[in-house]
Amino acid sequence: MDIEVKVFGQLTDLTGSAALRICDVRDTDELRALLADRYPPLKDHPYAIAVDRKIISVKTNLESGSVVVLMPPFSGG
Amino acid sequence: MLNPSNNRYHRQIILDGFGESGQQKLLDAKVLVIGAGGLGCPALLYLAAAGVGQIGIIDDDAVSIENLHRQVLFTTDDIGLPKTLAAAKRLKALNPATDITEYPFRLTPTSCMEIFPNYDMILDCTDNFATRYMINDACVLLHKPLVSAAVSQYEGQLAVFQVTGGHVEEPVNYRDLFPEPPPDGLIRNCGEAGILGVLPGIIGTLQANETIKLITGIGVTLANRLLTFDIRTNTMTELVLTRSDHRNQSMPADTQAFLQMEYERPCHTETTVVEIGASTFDMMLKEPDVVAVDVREPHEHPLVTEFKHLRLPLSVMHEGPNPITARKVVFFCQTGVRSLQAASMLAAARPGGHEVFSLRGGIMQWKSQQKKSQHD
Repeated sequence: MDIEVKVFGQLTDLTGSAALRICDVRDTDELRALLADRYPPLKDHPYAIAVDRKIISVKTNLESGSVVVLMPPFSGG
Repeated sequence: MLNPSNNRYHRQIILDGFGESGQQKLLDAKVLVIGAGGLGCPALLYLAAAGVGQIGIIDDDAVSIENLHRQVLFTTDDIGLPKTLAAAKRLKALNPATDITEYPFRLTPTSCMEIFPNYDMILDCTDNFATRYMINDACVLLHKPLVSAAVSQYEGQLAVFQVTGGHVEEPVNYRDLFPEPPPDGLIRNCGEAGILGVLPGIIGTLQANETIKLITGIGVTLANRLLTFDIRTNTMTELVLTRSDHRNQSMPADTQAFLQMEYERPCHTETTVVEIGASTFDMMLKEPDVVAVDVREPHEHPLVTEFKHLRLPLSVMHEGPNPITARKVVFFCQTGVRSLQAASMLAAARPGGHEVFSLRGGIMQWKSQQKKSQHD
């Protein structure tokens, strides 16, 4: 079980990288919890999650090879 | 009406699928651009150039030197001018047929409800979350299409909300993507995090493109899609948006609730301009530390002899550094339009340094009220 996580915007300041590999998470809730554990400041940051290019708002199952996007809001104009 | 002898739009009219009908739709369109900054400048340039008939511009800021590396409507000579004024001047020079309306003030829920109904669609080119959520909520309540864009360092976001038809079953809005605004100060803006000028140039141009597609019906828009672009790698990512179960948790249920919403938390570091009526004006004149300033040109009548004031014509203010040192300043002019511009200029020149007011309705309205109260 291997998930590719792409990180956007200023969230990369917290994760240290724009591309992460995560193992052993079954769904997006587990992924959020694991990320919050690994990168504690991420807990306070709002971000949307997309699974295989679709933004999700409810717990979504992840499969090996799933591509997850972490998208924070941008405010600059 | 489209004048066939007008060659201005020839190169787009001959496009397959565009034609004179596409041009006519642009000429008939009314578009409101909120924020004449990094995104708003290129969006405005291309919309005016393409022949959009009516364009409204909302911005309460004045041009500063830090703006010029990305805000391509403005020149060095424009520094200190209200952005709406400088933008309108430039766009008029580009396309005199475009009708430009300037709104040189900060958007509030009330002004959303007054201004938005006059336009077919809205472009969010703003630089802060408070205004983004306010615009979104107003567009949802008024069923207005919203072309929303934002930038952060080397990355841009672009989406079209509140549009039905085509591939869209249920239109989404900004709160489907991000239900709640982030806490203040958590996400750094352009001023803090930096921005490469070409990024809003690209994203603002894409915003104009989406707007032209929405108006003319050409192509496929970003309705219910979020496009991101990273200029470091030229990577474009398109994500599909769907309705969120959390969309309504903080969304005002109706106009009344919207008008009560506090989008902006009080902030004392910026100087904001307050418009005052005649009675507040009279009370302020009695305060010892208030300076009243007439910004009309020297030849203008009626003369004001009723109270002590300075004369500083707006044309002089445009030319040089501001000589006003008083902390509390109230501007007036004939009808209240130029005094608001002058107030915005002073507020922008010295953030936090002044309390700035503008007499609503100008000296004409003030004089007529004086007469009326004498008769009563």
